[in-house]
Amino acid sequence: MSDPTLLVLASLAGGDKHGYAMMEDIEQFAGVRLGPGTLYGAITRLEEQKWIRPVASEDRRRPYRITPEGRVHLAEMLARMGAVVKTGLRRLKHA
Amino acid sequence: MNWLTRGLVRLYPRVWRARYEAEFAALLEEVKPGWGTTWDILRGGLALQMRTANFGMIVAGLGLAGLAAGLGVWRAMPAQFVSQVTLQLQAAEAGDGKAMPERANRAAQYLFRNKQLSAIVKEDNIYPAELARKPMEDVLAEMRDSITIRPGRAVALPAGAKPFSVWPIDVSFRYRDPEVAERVAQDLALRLDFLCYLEGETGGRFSGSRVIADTALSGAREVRANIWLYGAMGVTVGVMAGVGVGWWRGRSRAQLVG
Repeated sequence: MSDPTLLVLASLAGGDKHGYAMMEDIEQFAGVRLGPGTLYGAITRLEEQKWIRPVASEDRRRPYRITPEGRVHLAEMLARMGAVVKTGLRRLKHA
Repeated sequence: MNWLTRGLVRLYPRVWRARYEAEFAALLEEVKPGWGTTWDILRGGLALQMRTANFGMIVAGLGLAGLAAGLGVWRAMPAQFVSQVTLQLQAAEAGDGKAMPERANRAAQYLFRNKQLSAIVKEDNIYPAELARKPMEDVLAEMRDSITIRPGRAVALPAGAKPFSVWPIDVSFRYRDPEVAERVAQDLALRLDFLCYLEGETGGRFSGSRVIADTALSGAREVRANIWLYGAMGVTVGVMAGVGVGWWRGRSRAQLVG
């Protein structure tokens, strides 16, 4: 749950955001405060994979947007995680 | 963005900075500064360097990091002090002078026994921290490593002594406290002197000889571990780690391509 790339994708799934806005958003929905180095490491990897892309801006704070490929990847990751969560919960119930 | 943060951003790969530096700097202006943030920026820079660096750069970089770590460990090591006492054993007759090294050797062996050393440990109250966590035998083994007894260089002869009859011996002790190092070195020298005397008394053949102790105290001098050794160890470990990381990264990439 603390994978920075997953958190960034999940944050951008809710709309375009710049770095600081992502940090705030992620802290709010996941309770994890990403450091600037960790955040930009994740942004670099995601942009290389073409799962996010920068949005033109007048400001120095550049916003990012999730791409259609990024959405597919996020959906796959969440589905895998959902299966793990479902199995874990079911087994806890029967234990 | 303070000077430290600005300096850390310089650690990021040049290609990365050309693309992201302006927006990264804008983010750093909004983030609350602190040690956690500083560490995160440093870690992020190193991680990106590792991704973009080639095998040689990784080995060289980790080798340098190992050197820095080795020197850091060397600097953090507590200081040690060595105090040396020179004994001059003197035989009464010419024939006894030849047997003096052997006598001194036997006396030194006796001095290194547990009974003698543990008496010094108790009387001088040394190694209290070590005794709290280790048995006496282990502490005595450590003490033996801190004692040196060897033939000394020729010094001015006592009045009336003949050159053949004088045998100088250096006794030195290493410890973390200079005053204690001096006191124990003196104690060791006096015990060695007495043991040599006893060797003469009980050896029959040497019963007529005298042992004269001339304790030339040199005070305690500070000694440090070999800086080259620590530097070389750090570089070796760093280079080995670099080769390992470089190999692992190459393998990971090959698997991705495959």
